[in-house]
Amino acid sequence: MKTTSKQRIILITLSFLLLTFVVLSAGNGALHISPIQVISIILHKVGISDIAAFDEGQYNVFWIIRFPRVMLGLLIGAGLALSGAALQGLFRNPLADPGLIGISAGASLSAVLVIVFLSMLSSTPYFALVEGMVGYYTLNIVTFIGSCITSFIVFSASRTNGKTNVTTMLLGGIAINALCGAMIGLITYYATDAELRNITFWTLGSLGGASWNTVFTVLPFILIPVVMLPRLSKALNTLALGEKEASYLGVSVDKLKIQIIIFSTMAVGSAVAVAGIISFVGLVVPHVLRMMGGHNQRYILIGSSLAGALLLTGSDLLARVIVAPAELPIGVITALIGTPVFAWILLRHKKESQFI
Amino acid sequence: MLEAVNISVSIGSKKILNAVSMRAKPGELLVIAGPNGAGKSTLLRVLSEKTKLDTGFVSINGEDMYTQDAKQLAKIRAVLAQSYVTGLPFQVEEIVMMGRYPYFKEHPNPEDTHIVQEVLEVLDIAHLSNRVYATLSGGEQQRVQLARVLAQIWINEKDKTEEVNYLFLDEPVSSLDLYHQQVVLQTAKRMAAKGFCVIAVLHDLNLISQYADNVLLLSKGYVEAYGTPEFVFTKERIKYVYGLDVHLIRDPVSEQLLIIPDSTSFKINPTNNTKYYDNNNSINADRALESI
Repeated sequence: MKTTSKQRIILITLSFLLLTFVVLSAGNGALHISPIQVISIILHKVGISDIAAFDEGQYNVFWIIRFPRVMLGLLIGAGLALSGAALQGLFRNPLADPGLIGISAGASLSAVLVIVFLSMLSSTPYFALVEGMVGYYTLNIVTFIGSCITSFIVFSASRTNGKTNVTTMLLGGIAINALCGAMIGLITYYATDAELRNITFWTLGSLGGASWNTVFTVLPFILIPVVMLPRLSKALNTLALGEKEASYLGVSVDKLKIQIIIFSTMAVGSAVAVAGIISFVGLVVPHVLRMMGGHNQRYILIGSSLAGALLLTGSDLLARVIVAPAELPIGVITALIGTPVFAWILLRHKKESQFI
Repeated sequence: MLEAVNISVSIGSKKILNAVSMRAKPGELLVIAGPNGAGKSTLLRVLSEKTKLDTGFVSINGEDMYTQDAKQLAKIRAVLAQSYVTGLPFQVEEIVMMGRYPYFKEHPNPEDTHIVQEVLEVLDIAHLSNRVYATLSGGEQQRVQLARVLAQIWINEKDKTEEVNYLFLDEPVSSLDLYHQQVVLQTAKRMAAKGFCVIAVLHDLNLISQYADNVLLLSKGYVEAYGTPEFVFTKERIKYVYGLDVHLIRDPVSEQLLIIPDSTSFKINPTNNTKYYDNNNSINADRALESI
């Protein structure tokens, strides 16, 4: 399906806004770098002569601290919003989000396990060996594995005779959320105060751990879904007609479901693994886009990647500015800006939007 | 040519179709008729998609249909199902364009856009093309769905091929007014005249008599009769299959056969209510009626 001119304008505007916010966000902080300096630092790196003067301190802060963090936020925002959009299309339910099929629950449980039991485990020789290899990234790796496991459990529980039952999958997701929630409760009961604080901050999300290492680790897990999911947009559109209708149009519905689950788990699992739970992005970004420009999945999926990246880049900027030099948890900001915007759009479109 | 041989289907222990064989030719509008629960929709499903069969097989253009590639099949057969989602948030034009999805990768070709316009005009919904589907009336939605299905196998006059296309319609006029019933069935007839093979499930015997080339009359999962409407619709057979007395008359202008239910002799007879009871438990039906 063609994106209409209105949809194209929205996509182009989002791209420009995203670029603007990347530049603004990268320049803002304890050491100020002006937008023009940001641009010339980037151009300098690719070998183009300098437009504006900058000192070495600015150069280093930008490349070592600021830019990886901005890139990480951009990637995670894109991944979360895109997966939300794809899952909403798959479940044909505007309330579906990555949390619903257990991805976040598995991530939370494994993160809490790591935070609480890490100190006990590090005394054992075997774990010391593992930690020697993965070191600093233990939490990220275990979290990613945890999210894959729960999403796999929910997915396989919903399959009968080689077909995926979407309703069973939703119910399975609810069940696994409850189970993980209970286990987290049990573990926090035994946690120390310091561990509790860590857990709480983890569930509020943070981009604080950003480095080029994390960016490049996450990159393939998010880039692949960003490229692949929009290619499924035609099939997702037909799925709105009903599974049977989609199959009459030559869509292999079961293959489609598997692809969407895998790509979403990749993106969300890796996002949660490096940044903790950043709520709200996956649920609301696709909604806002739908209300602005219609339901064509191609537009929704591409637009969600852009708008999700924009939302997280902007939120991260705010998170660092509001209480500078300290920073707020980014999940708090996404919810604080997102909810009023969402409510405003919801009220404005109340009459037309029958799909909410 | 579409051919089904010795088809038996059961759901649980209940036999839905019993050794049904049939054949539909290119250029023909074949109607599957019969009382509620006779197995019409099941037969249509067997003919249009991979279904679990107890016995039998379906061949399309001489090949076993159930082993064919879904993407290829989507270009030669389109299906209008009986129930469809009513709350779709897409514009009418977008929905009809979905019928062209099997033909392009990302962006529709000019031909696809042209076909969508043509189909919208044929079904008298061109004026709705920018409306949101969910805001349409039931009858309009039904025509939009039909337009999508037609677009899927539409062939322009200029590029006619040897390959036969198949159109399956499950009660395509169920929520249409008198005028649009004619629009839809005229279109179906036109598709048949183009060399398509059109197979429809219809309930209205008079519409069948007006449009069908052949009728396959089903009753309790068996083929009761097959042939032209003139041949199939006899007073005795309708009495036997539907449990209803009718008058057969001819329209003085068109000479068309008309089937008029006899309301003076009509009474509710539970043993003939084939939808809920088969012969084996008609006793239960009697009991159920007594208890009311």
